[in-house]
Amino acid sequence: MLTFQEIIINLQTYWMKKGCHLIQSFDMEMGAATFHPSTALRAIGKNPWKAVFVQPCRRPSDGRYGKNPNRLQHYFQLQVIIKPSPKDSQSLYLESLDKISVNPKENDIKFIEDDWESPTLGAAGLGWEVQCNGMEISQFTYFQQIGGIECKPVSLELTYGLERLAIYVQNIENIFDIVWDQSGITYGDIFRLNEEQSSAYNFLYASKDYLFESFNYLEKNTELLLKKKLPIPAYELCIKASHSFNLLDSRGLISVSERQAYILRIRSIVKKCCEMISK
Amino acid sequence: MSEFVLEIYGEEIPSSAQKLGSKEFENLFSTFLNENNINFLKLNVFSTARRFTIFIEKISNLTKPEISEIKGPQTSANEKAINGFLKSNNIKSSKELKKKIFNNKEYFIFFKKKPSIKVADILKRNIPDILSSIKWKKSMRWSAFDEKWIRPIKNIFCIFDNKKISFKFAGISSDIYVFGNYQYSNKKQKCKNLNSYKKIMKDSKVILDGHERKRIIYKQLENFCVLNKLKNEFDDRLVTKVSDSVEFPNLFVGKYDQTYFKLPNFLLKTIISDKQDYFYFQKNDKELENSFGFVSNKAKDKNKILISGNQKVLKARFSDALFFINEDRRLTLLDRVEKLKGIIFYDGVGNLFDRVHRIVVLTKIISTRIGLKVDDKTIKELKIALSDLSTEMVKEFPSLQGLVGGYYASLEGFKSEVCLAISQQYFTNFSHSENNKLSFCLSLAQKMDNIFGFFLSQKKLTGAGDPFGLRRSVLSIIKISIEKELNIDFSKIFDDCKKLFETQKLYEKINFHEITNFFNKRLTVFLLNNDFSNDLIKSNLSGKSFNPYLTYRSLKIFDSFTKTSKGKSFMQALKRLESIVPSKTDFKELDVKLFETREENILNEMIDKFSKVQLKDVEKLTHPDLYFLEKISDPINNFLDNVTVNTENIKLQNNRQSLLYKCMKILNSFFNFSS
Repeated sequence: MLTFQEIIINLQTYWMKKGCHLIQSFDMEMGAATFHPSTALRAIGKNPWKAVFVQPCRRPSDGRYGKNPNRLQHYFQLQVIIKPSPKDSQSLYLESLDKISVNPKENDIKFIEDDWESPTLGAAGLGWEVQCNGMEISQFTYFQQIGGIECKPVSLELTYGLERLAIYVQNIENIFDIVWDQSGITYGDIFRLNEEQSSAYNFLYASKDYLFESFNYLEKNTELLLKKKLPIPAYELCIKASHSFNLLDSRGLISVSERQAYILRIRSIVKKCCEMISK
Repeated sequence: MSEFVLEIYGEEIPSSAQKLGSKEFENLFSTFLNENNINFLKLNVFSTARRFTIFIEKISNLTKPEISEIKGPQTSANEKAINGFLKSNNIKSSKELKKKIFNNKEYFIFFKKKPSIKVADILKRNIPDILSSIKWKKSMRWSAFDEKWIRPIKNIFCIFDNKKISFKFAGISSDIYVFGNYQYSNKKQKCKNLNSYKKIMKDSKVILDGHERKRIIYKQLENFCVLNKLKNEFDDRLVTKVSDSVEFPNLFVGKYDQTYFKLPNFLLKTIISDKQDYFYFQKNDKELENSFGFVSNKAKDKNKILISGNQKVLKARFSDALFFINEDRRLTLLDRVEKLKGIIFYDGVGNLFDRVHRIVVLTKIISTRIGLKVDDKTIKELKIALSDLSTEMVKEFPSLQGLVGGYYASLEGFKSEVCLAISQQYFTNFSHSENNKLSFCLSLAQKMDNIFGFFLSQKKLTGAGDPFGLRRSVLSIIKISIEKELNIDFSKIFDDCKKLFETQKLYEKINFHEITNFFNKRLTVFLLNNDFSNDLIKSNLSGKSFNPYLTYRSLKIFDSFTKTSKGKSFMQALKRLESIVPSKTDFKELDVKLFETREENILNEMIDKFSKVQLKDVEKLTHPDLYFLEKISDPINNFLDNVTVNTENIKLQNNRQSLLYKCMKILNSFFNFSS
């Protein structure tokens, strides 16, 4: 049985052999690995790019105080980004599953239409949610635009939900039972406390005033940095603003209708950053 | 005669695109063949999750020879003109020309023969353009190619008359190899003709015909239902979607624990069908069976990996839902009303606590307008209408907002009509049999408040999209009002909204005209879609009020009237009148002493008679009530046939114009014929 650690290593090794650079995680809170500059910013422009990396992701509203067997507010995505997308994308992906004991010949692997969109990134792609016997294990996306800018050439983004894969590979039913490495230490041993405490923070204690203020501050400063022609740090502020927005959302401080307005505000600043980077 | 086969094979094609793509393939190819004089017997298009295939049977190898007639100069033309015609059409000698008479003049004509062309050559040249011209709703690029297609293409197979047709599209060169169902084999297979194509597909587990795949799924579902005495009724859209997602459908049935029947049926069904694309089974209309079906490309489930995997997924989904319910029920819906204070509605327009208060008052106001008595207890209970927005369940399944609230309300013992109204408040329309009037009132109230709040937040609506769902909300208000015959002037409800926001100190001046315009635009689109003419709609929309039901009803009555013989006769006279009636409005008073003709007197008498007619209210009016209008047809026609309006005598001219204007005015008082 593969451990969580081995799943990561096997996937990284496979993609490194296919020419991907092994990049490290980005040091900011983000809702999805797509925000990593190695994906979002590298997908813009003409230069080829191949990378694989693991990104810890935070979705505050998914917190369940460590009580739900399938849900976490902090989890890991393994991301592959290849520009231009290779001709045999799907075969490469299916072959990668074989490296982590998911045999596509034995399992029912389905590519279900799921045109991906990141409203805050102004990013859109066409592709699929990949299911293994009904369980979503990956997102398979051809980027069409980022920050409102058309991607040319098109990048292929593969996002593996590592915990979901591990649940399947280890034939267990609870994320917290995932065996991390050969020592036998589990995912729960490492992260349960974090889930409990962070859920409380996300839902109860994240400061309302601070979040609203920081969102406004970050939005304003992105504009200032753009005036100084510093789109990369400006983009980093967008990542932070996006996380503030996610916390506002998990605290239930904005209605469904106002939520849309916040999304549009982030999208607008991300778009400006991307436009400047593409020049 | 030959056969043509084209297959575009690629990555998984969404179901909706298969339907659209098949239609486009069929239209584009048949148009192309007809335009190029290519005979064929039969054209069939098939689609699966991985391919589009077109078969053209008994297609001619050569285009039909064509003779076109080219008109030249007149036979009397000078030599220069004739030579010019010969030269420009590559005609060697004038002896090849014939003569023909057009409009009593004789012209040279030339019968130009267009030789037959090899169909294979035409196809080769044109297929890439045909493929590029398919209009997908959403298409994509991939790699570094410029071409767009629904999903990346991996292989193109194309043969005509058992030979390859060579062309390149989206970086792929066409070939004579095909792939079967990739879940079984990745082997490339050489294919010579239509029969061998069909055989390869069959042998490699590809059922090309979508109807056949659906039939297989239905049959397998039916077998299970018959065997287990279950209701054999399934959502055809889901069957289509599922059959489009595979090339070789096989139904597997899994089970779930009966303890999940603790979850309400709407939630179980949503999770099974909407979230997982599985089929749920029902014992009868009310009870579910604890089984579900899913369809796979795989024919066998070795070691039950597929069934146990899918069962596990469903179990996790159900456990999630149970977890949400347990978490959510720690607080009652009334407790949650307070929580709404912490949720912003629109920036600067208060919170959801303020909003629910307004919605309750508006519901009461609307109910009074439609004559529904709502007691104080009901009004009090409606305070929980938005409480589910703070629940985990709605966060997880936003599309279930309202339904979740209604469900929790029923568990907490609220009145059934209140529970139903809460469940249905986000419905965009109601079924014909639905008659819980409180639901209509709450639904209209929450939508009106949402629209008013949006305009108050000073946000701007740009583009064709509907990110805030406002267009949908207005359309829903229109539909509910018309379908449920609710006589409500919503411009008055806006006044009520204004007062409510003012009371909450949340009101800032807004442009009411902008809101009415926004509503009228949606109503115009709705009425146009219901086949009313733009002119008629325009003349019946008011800038001051907004009553979709009355507007629709009056248009409908008028429409029915114009379809009768009396209505047709009246409309003919009216059209004549409209074409001559002056647009100016500063008419001097009509002077009967200036009448010189019988027709003027008769028309005026009829107008006077009409001025005494009192029409019923639109709500009670039926189209026979308009039959009297026909009585003015003859007076109008006779006047227009026998009286000269634009006479040289200015006094007379003005008086006659005044008479026509008076006539139009009185007719417009019955119905807005012109704006």
